[in-house]
Amino acid sequence: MFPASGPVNATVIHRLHPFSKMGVGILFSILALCIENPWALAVMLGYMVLVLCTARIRLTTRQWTMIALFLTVIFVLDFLASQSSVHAATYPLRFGVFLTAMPILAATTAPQQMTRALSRTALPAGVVMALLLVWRFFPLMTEEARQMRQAAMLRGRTGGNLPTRFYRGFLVPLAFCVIEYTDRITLALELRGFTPSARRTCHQPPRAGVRDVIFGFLAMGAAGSASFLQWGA
Amino acid sequence: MKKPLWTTREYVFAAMISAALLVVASIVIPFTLPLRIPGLTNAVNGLFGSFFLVIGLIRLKKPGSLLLITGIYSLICLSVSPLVFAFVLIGGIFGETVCTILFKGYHGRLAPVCGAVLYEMGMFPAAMVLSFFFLPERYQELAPWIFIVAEIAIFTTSLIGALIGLKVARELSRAGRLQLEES
Repeated sequence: MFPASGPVNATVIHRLHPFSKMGVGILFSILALCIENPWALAVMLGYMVLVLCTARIRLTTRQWTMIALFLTVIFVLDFLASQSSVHAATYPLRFGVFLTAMPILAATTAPQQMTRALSRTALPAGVVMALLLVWRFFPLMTEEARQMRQAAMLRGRTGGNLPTRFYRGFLVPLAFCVIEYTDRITLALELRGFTPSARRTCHQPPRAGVRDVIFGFLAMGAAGSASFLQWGA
Repeated sequence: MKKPLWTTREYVFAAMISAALLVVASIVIPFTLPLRIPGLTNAVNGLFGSFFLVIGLIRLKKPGSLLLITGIYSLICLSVSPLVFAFVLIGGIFGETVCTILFKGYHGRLAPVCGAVLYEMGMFPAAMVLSFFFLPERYQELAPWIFIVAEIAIFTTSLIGALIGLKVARELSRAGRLQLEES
């Protein structure tokens, strides 16, 4: 959802331990599902917007418009269904927290940071490598998929009806693309001496520091305020 | 050195299938989720998800293949939400358990189709149970027939997707890019 921003040490958010970011993301995502008070959700969303600004993630006008449009559609549909503006406001706000909590933190974590953090866990080396490949190749594959759809649209109606065009113009090329990438990446990994049976070594393992403690306390503060608005007031 | 359960190529293939599942979900979900029809997102996503899963399972064949693909996919989904992680993983475990008991792997053509369909069908009840846990007031009013209709829709679309996947696997086999067993 959010573009990866800046180099590894661009801001204080980028320098946080990946697992402390993940912990806060999980806490916010779960809490957002339990909370129904729109003000409490607004506090959580406000905290995530603050993180977004601190991490200097800049969205384009088009991206902001698309997000606003998406949340407005949800608000309108919810209002039509419930006839309650409070209920209708709750769902887009919850969705907002849901769609910012983990993705912002993921966008500020460089693949090499994630590799170092994951290499300290008990996950098999092959799974860690597979996760990094998905992380790295998802944007490339999305771009390929976009180009395939554009090419199919340029061919127009000559390729049969819509399902046939979608099948021939998108699904089959994407399946071939998957096989093509597999062959190339496997060869590249094997040439670099990668083997799933050997544990990955790490020159600079990430360590939690003071900034992680402060980030955690601030997040707990926001979560506590939201909980108080929901259950305490 | 101990021989690993999966080779580098198998890990890479599982990762690429997971990436394809993510690409498809990123296109389909934004269009279907705002409509808020129970099971619609799963039904539409099942059509394309099972397509790639069948190709992945035909290639990997070993018991645990579905769990490998869905495990990688669910760990990536953890960067979206822990809830998505949970129901993707539950769907994967369900499909894998049934297929391991019945077929002991993904040899032939029935097992990959069965695995993909069971995964898609297993995800929806898991998502509903988790949603009910967090939002009981919304989901307690959901009539059972809606759940059954949604499951039938998911079964139908994911079966169609899986059969299309099987057809493409044959084309890939003819092109010499995938080894397909005759059964």
